[in-house]
Amino acid sequence: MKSKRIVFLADMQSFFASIEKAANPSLRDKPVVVAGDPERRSGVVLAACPLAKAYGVTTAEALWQAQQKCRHLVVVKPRMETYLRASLQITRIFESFTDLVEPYSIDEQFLDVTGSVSLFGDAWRMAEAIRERVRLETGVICRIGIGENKVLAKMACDNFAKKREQGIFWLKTEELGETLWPLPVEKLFGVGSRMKRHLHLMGIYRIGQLAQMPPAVLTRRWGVNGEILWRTARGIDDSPVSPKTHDMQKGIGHHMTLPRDFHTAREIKVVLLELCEEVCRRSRSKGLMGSVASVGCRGADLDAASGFWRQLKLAEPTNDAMTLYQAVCRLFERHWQHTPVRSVGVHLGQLVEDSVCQLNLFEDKERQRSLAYVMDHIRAKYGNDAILRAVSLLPAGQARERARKIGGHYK
Amino acid sequence: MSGRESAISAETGDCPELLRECILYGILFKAIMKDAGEMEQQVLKMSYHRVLEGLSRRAEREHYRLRQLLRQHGCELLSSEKEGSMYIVRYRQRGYYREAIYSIEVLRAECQQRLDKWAEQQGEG
Repeated sequence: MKSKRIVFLADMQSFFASIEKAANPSLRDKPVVVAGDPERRSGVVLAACPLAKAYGVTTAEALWQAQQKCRHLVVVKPRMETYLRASLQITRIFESFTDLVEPYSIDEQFLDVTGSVSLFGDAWRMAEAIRERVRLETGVICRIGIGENKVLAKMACDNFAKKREQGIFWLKTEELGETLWPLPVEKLFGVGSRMKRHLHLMGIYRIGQLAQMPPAVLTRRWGVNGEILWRTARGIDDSPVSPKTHDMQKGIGHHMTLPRDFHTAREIKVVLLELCEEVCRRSRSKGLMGSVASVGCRGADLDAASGFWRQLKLAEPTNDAMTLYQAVCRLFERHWQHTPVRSVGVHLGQLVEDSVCQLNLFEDKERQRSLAYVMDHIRAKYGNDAILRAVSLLPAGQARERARKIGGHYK
Repeated sequence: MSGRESAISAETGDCPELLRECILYGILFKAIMKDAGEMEQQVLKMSYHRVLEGLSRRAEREHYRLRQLLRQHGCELLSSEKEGSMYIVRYRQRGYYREAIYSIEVLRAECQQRLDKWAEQQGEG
């Protein structure tokens, strides 16, 4: 019989805010939020400490709303580089417990401890030792969900460990009937607000109801995703904890929420060109080219299903910004309904290595490639805004502001 | 956990806690000595020197006391080095070679807290 795996999902409590509090003792007894620049539209709460949450402040709400809820709220500007470094530091701590560590997001990581658990006593004691080390070495409190696979560990953490003082919960398959199944269906991993509505319309309100359904009903409705939902409700997941999961890249994309609504194609195309530059630069840095270009635009009301996301197969793989830009513009002109745009994204898919390239009789591709690589070197050495296209100096240009950020937040 | 609680936990033999306390006092000692060197240029250097001398002595004594306590728990410090934003401490515990990876920012903040506490105690005394 195959022995059961032991998988941990470690989640950092109010990650960004905890790092700020650990680094600054004067903030420790104060309600703290990490939020974007209040003067710009990016002023949303990225993380709120438990003290701030006690006032009703929630993650992703507008900063002005948070300040209304808590008058003496301390607002700290994000330092994304520091948070990324802290995340890598935590990964390194985890790697001293097991070699199978898979970062799931900046503040969540999976650990498969099946092979090393006996060195630390049992899974519970090992989880306690991990929590202790993360607290002492980084100042961050982590919560650990334990399960025999990744979905169980994730649901153990989100639904139980976060609500318990010990910060650890073991969700066992044989106890799902008493633990997971009585919970509302939206607590199931993978069920968002839209799926919740669909499930409610089908009369499914509890996870247990979903687990008891014949999987064929769900497959008929949602295809393979229906079966995944059913398997998740039953705690079935065979996916391995893989440290190399992010090495295999399927596509490279960049997305930007604009500081205001952009109304004209001229303005929007400036941002599209900047995004194409970023996408191609990242592709080149990984030695890749893509042959499917995608572009997406959304309106100011991000909840409404407005805007579009369309893709186009290119004649040949590329990582040249102007080639990608031409394809993106074709898509944009075809599908844009002349509505105001607040968020744009560009994506390059079907990646292949860029070591082989089809030469062309009418274009000097070698020259274009060399120029692009030289620009990359300059940017790598002197910063992303060391060399810019002239259009980026127009009022619509975002490249200069974006150079100061990581993932849309200040470095 | 408050400073007092952590100190108690350290005394009761909680190895990671004890190790961090020991490292903290070691760093605090070095930081005070460095600051003392820079104070040599100041006008009131004699007065500053006395204060810093007292502080560094306390930090050094505490560091060695905790180091001894660690040794009694079978934990021996081997090396420590700065690596980017991290401070890596290597130690041997009951035959196992281990590593603690501290955030320099957090160590600095904790040192600051210990100094503030001393200053408070001095004020009360």
